[in-house]
Amino acid sequence: MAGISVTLICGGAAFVIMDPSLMVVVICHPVHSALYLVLAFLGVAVLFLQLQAPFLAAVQVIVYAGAIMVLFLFVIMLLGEDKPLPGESRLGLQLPLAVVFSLVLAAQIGYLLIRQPSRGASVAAGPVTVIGGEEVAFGSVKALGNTLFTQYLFVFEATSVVLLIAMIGVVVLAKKRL
Amino acid sequence: MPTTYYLAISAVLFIIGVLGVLVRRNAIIIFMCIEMMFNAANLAFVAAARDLKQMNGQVFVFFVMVVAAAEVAVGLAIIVALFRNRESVDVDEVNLLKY
Repeated sequence: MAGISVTLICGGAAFVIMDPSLMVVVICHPVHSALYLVLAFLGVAVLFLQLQAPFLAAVQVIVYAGAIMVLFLFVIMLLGEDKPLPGESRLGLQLPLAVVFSLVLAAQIGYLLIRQPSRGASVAAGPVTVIGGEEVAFGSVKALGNTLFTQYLFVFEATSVVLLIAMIGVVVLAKKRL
Repeated sequence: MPTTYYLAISAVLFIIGVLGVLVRRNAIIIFMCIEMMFNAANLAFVAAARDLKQMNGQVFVFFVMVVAAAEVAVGLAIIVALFRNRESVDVDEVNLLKY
């Protein structure tokens, strides 16, 4: 019974991802596209929860669906580009070509997925590691933090430099005269 | 749910993103489709992390999110600078480097 409900939730989440993400591509209005993309990000957050990544699900909602999409909506509002572009309809040969290439890509990935047999359904609860005499379950915030601040400490510090450089770049780009 | 299902969802999300980049002309929407592809990669990372029972995949997703945030800030600044010069976000009108 629990397995069926989990499958239903996952199928619903998959639908909630695919439907809005298609709408992002199909719909003309940029603001509507952005709002549909928020819906798709929330669906991905649900899948993260199912995949035992509660912290990443929270970050997905706060950073992606929250901060990044607000930035997008702010720029759309700032530029006043909320009308469909006049040139969107004159794609010509590019539209069928793009669909064909996407189908080729889908066939390749699908072939890989079918040829590589899955190891079957994973167990519900992951193995338990012991950190400092305390049992920590797979996917918990504690396990993530332990990996992040021991094995990946240098990379974690390096991301601060990435963010600093991005910030300087944006300030330079946003100046009136380049 | 076996890991293959999650990878299939991730693949579909990625392909929709690719299709969006190919068929749209609005720079902001192209950018949103790139974000969609980032999310597809993140989903594949988390699915693989659970399949292999390794926390490394989830840490990688964390770093991908950091880089995505920096990339969005820079990209949107470029789009704003583009709009100042061209009065448009149509990528067909940005063709100085073409041919």
